[in-house]
Amino acid sequence: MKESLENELRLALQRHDPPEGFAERVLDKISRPKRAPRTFPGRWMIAAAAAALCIVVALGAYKAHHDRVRGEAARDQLMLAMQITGAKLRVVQEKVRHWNE
Amino acid sequence: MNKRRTCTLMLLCAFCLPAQRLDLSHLDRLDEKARERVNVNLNRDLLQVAGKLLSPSDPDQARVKALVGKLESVHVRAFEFDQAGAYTQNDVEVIRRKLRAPGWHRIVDVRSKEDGENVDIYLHLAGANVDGVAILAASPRELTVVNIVGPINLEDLAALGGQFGIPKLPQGQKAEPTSDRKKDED
Repeated sequence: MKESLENELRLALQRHDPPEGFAERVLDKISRPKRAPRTFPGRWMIAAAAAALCIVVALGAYKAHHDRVRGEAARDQLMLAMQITGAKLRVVQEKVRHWNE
Repeated sequence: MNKRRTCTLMLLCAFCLPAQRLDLSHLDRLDEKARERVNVNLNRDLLQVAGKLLSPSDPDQARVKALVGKLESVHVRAFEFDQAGAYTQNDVEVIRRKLRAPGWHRIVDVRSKEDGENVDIYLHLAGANVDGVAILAASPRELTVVNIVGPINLEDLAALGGQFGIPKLPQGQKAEPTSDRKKDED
């Protein structure tokens, strides 16, 4: 019983060579500069990104609305301009027709 | 000194405008006198935006859409006054003088003693193509100036006949530009 325990301990504690490149990897990790600790918590970054997204969407919607209002005003002005042009052309046509009759 | 600066600025502005574009800024002073006034100034960008919003299913709007696609700008100044004499003959003469510039041709000159309404229609020609239209209508209590800048097909304009209450022009009745500048000067 005692002997088997000793054997198990000997097996468990026997010296093993490290895997190939182990020393290099350790040295490489030690020489790498330490990453700066996070000063901005991740959830705040997500909230900021979400807020920025909301602002972009709101601005886009505002611009689309503004463009639409501007376009509708321009369309109404154009139709008014054409109505006035048409009315003046009609005056000419009616006078010419009147004189021809 | 200020007067000289203003004159220089006005001259610069006049040189910057295309030949078909009439400077109607001298009519600004009539704004206060008018009972009703219309001031439409649509540049190419606004015409494009407006054109996109014109409904192709509406025949009126569809024809206007086809017409404005190539235009550079549209300008309308219309005034309606409570009484005659609110504007002077000089106001009209300033515009007529501009329309005597090379390139402009008066194609219609209607004078009515009955109601005192005078209407002139001018075309600006670039070679054989019309690239500007001006309509000047003056009656004792109304003054209207329409200035359309850009390539415009007279048939497209005639196609507006029947639209907005305009009777359709008979087919083939195409206004021929007649240079009556001499007559105009008389």
